[in-house]
Amino acid sequence: MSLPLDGVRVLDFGWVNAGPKGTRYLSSYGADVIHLEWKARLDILRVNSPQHPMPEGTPPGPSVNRGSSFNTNHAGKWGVSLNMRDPKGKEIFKRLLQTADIVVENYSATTMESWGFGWETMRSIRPDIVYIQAPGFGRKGPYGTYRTYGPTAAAIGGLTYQVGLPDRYPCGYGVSFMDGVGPYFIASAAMGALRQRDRTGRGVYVDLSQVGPAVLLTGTSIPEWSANGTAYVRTGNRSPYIPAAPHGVYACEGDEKWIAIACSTEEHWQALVGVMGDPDWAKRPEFSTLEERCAHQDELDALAESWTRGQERYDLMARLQSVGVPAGVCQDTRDRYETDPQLAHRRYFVRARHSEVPDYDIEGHPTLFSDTDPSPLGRTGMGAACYGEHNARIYGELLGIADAELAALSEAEVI
Amino acid sequence: MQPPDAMPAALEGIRVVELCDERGEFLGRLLANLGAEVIKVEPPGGASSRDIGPFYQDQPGAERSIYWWHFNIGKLGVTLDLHQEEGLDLLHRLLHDADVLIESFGPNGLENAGLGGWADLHARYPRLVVASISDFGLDGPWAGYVASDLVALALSGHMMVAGYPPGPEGKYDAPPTAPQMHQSWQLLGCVGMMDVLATLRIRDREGLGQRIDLALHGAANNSTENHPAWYMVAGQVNTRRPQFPELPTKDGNYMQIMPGMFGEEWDRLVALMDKYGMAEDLTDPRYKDPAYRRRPEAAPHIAALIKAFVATQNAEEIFHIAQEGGVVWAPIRAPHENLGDPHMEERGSFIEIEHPEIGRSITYPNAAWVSEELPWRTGPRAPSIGEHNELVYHDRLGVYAEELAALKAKGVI
Repeated sequence: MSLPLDGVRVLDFGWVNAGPKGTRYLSSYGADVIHLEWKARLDILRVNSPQHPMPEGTPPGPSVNRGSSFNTNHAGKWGVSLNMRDPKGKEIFKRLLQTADIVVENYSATTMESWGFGWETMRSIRPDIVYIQAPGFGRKGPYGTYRTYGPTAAAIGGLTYQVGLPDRYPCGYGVSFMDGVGPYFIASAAMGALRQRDRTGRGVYVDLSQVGPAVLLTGTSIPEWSANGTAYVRTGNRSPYIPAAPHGVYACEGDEKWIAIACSTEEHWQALVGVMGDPDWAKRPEFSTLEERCAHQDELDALAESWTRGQERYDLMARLQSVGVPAGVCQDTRDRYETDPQLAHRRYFVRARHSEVPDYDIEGHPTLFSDTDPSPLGRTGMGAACYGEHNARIYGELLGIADAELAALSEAEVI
Repeated sequence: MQPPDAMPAALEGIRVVELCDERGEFLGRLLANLGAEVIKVEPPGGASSRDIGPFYQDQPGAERSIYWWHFNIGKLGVTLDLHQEEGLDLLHRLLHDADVLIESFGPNGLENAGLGGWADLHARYPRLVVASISDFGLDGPWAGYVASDLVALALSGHMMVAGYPPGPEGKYDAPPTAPQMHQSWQLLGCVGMMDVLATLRIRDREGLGQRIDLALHGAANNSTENHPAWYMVAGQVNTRRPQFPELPTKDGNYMQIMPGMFGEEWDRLVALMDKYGMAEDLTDPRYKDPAYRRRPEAAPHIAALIKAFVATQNAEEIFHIAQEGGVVWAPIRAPHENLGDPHMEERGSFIEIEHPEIGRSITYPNAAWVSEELPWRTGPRAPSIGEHNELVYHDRLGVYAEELAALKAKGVI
């Protein structure tokens, strides 16, 4: 079986995280993704993210090709340089557009227009183009000129507020959540739009944002407010909507080692008590029913933790799981990469080659397909491209621009 | 209701049978948002996810769960007992017309549910796309383990980096902290939406459906931004050292700022603070160098000045003033505080859905995007137990009324 997006070409102006990760999913599904960038406005993750360590003897930097985040976000894509402010650059973009199915960008809302390529212009050049525009607040609306990064989108959207303890400030997510989840909406919008294009033969414009999905992901908070007049209250690690106790994370043997345990049924509790060795305290009346346990969680948590403190976290997880108790180690990135046997079994981490930095691993696709798995190495079979690495291939082979002209364009700061 | 000349939604004409627990309900809802007809199949007494709160007027009940209402909006609801032969027959008749099956029977669950294995199902319904939801995956060393939302978020790394920062002596006074609102289920829904769209595309081209092995563990792990890259490439393990400090505003709210201040953003920030006479020495050109700003003598000083500045402002005022000055700040809003925001209103971020049984409408989050050509559909309200039995079984599948009554009497529907 072929890949879902075989034969689909994407022009990717994705920048920082959300856009590039969205187009990387399209690449994983088989699309031919061409990432376009210009050195005067380099992606901050080329230089700001932790840099690849280089082998001894490598000529010293600076190099723009060693940013770990950039090299992860752009795996599997072709990389070209293009000066969109230059008239000749605009001509080249028009020719690329004529070969493309989808344009994705997440610049500030008016950047493409300032280059002369708003939606109306793009569809006049390529009438059935799909254009996914994903600035932080979206294009339409009074904040269309405002900007976000992932964390500020989560903050105004209401997600940050939901995380933390009730009597302290909202600590929010530890990751830039919208940079992880926004890309799912970008890729989905692009594929939904392709269906629409195929049905009508006409182009599709989607005004996406980071804030919109964040609002959606606040879940029942809006309808609860609307229905009951009740504002969201943070509950730490407790389970506000499904009665469960113990329900939280508990310190284990070692420094900063933790396990999550979630007992939402009588069976979970009895099994946990068995693994704890039937301590006397577990027989006390205030722990006799789920309702009682929920009403005495402070005490229950303290007693449970007094026991977990002596336990090795993975061993405890295995013993609890063997009797059906939902339990899992609070894994850090090292744990996930080096010891998580389930991710390893699913071949989640994939080795990527790169023209400048040593081989490195990237995250693969989160799911497996029964026939043909999506491939994070995309059409290139490689990690990210170096700056302008595929100019000759794309401008030469795809557009038919002669070598001498490419050299002149490079000299003239067009590519 | 949409006007009759409106563009059909992307998944108009696609039929989804949703035979899953709470982990897959957001996926079904998203497919409904994209225009699919989603038939939610519950056991005759109602799905267990109807027991999840919050509840209307805080009184529990199968028809009062706001959780159920939110995550099952826009679906048709039928009841079916798969443990009875007639129930399984009806399911097969549903699958005969379906494009997508969302199921959460877990490893070997298709077999246990009487549907045969994937190979049998695929042979019988070659065009059917099946999203198989599980905690850890359909096979592998942890396939037999059980998760919960909290457990999935712990194992996927979200918790270990979230929480309150250590105190002055480097000691934490609170444990790692989980994202709330069933986020692992919601992440699974988002990943599943993307995968279903992809597999439908290849199905339409080649005529063959596929099975998507859609695990909470995979979806949650995949959503931690670049943290894995930083370890795999540069050996950096992130801890729960929140990237963002506590920044209370004058009116008792909190601001979210960006710590890094890329490029010209530093200049804009200094200009903003200077306008209020609170930049102090930050106007000194030596601060223009990001490396200098990270130095131990500079970083705490800058942080203290920003904190002092934020404390003199009201959150919603400084949000607009900052953004108009090119400073990418935002207030930390409670979810309901977005209701009435003119930007979100104009983008259709919320929608009122009628609930005739309680004689009123309820407001829900609505569209993730704005597009005439790719419309987003929300509504009608989530189904009550067995609400669409007659529509689906009688009108669609042609089951006679007397037969339906008999099935109901027998507890099959």
